[in-house]
Amino acid sequence: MEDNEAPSLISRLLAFALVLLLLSALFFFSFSQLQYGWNWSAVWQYRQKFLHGWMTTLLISVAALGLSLLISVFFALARRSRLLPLRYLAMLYIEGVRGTPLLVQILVFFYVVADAFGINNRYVVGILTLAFFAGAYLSEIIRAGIESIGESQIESARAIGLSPLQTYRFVILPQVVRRILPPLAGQFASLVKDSSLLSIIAVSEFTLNAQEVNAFTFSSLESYLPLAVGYLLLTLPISLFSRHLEQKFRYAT
Amino acid sequence: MQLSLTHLSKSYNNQRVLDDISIDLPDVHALVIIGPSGGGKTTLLRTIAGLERPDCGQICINGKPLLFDAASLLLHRRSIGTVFQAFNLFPHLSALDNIMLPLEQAQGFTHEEALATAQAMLQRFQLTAHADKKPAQLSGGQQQRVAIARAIAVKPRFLLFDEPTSALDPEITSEVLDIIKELQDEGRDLLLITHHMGFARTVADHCLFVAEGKIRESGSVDRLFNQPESVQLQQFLGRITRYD
Repeated sequence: MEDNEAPSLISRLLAFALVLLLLSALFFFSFSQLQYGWNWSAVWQYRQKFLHGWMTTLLISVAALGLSLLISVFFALARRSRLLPLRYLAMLYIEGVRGTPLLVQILVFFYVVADAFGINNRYVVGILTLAFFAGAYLSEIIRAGIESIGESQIESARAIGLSPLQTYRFVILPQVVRRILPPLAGQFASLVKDSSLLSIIAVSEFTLNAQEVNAFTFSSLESYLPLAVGYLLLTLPISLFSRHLEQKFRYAT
Repeated sequence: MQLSLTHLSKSYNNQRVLDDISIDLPDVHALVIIGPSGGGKTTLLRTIAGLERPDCGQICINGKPLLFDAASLLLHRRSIGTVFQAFNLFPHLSALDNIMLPLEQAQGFTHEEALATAQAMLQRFQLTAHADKKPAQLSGGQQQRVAIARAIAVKPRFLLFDEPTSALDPEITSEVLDIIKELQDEGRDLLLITHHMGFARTVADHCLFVAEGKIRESGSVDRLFNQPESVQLQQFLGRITRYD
């Protein structure tokens, strides 16, 4: 790849325009075949509701994202721990969460676990469930990243007299971050979309609000198309930001 | 330096890599270790470097026994300079940062002191122009020179080289060997594993032939090369100098 010359700006723009045109044509044709009475004005009245739901989704996602990162770092390290109980806990957590539907996890967590511990705030429960769900996937990404750092580098770090903690801080972490950024960004985008499932425990997020507008106005597409755009507005910045960071941390290996 | 090893043994998976090694070298300045691959010479060097714990036995350097608890080994590693065959440098750090990292984090230098020391090192090895390059942008010889610069920047008690040129092209090899020779001329103590017999002759004041986990022969380079006593060393020298 690197030996090839980068395509010029003109050819990139042309190629992008071509792809955009083809996709637009596909959707334009599909929509034009649709016998559907559009009624955007009914939905427009509820724009505040959409905005409110979108903001809620944004806040839930940000909170769950931060929390999931902490959880995943802990379990990624626990998975590599020499303490067996810690390692088994991490294994059970990761396999349990990755092997079961988020829908079931939300229900069990909300109606059983949270109830037993007296947590009544559904937003807190929602954020916790999402964070633990995403944390399982993230911790495997982080673990694979750590294990991709060659033994010879850890050896070099020891030889120059770095402590294990310093080795993580100065040798492993900076390289792991660079390597796992793409899958990390993908997982974060998934988390944002997965937050829509919190609608089943009546967390008033973006999807629930769209569903309600749909019920009030009997206009299904007009409620759900803005939903797609709204989620894109949240997930696209994640992709762009991760690509920006990738460029910044770029170095040949 | 004084170096003595007493009943040093080490096994991996029931395989004896070091087999009851004992030797006392009261005054050695350039120790060259030769021997066939898998004979235990790298393990021996790594044990002296504080990177391996022996199963039993003792290492004594300049009269002080080496302790094998984690904290003592860390301090020991901080007091010496080790250069491996290859892949010494961290790929995400520039040449300059590679040299600065141990100074700042393991040696307690301030940022300014580390920077000044690292720059002086780069200048000494004619690497100033490459200070900001990542290892992948440097040639193999330049990488090893940075690795050596990093090792001596910490003012080590002695230097350990584990076949420092084995991953290099022959024409680059001499540029690294020249530096090692230079360091020896400055009076630095060094331990070196090498397959370059000519170079061994030039630098070594003592030579060990290690095979099957034991020191088979010990003495001056001339003695080992010209009058090998054991059949193993005769065969080894025969193989290694066949096309010289």
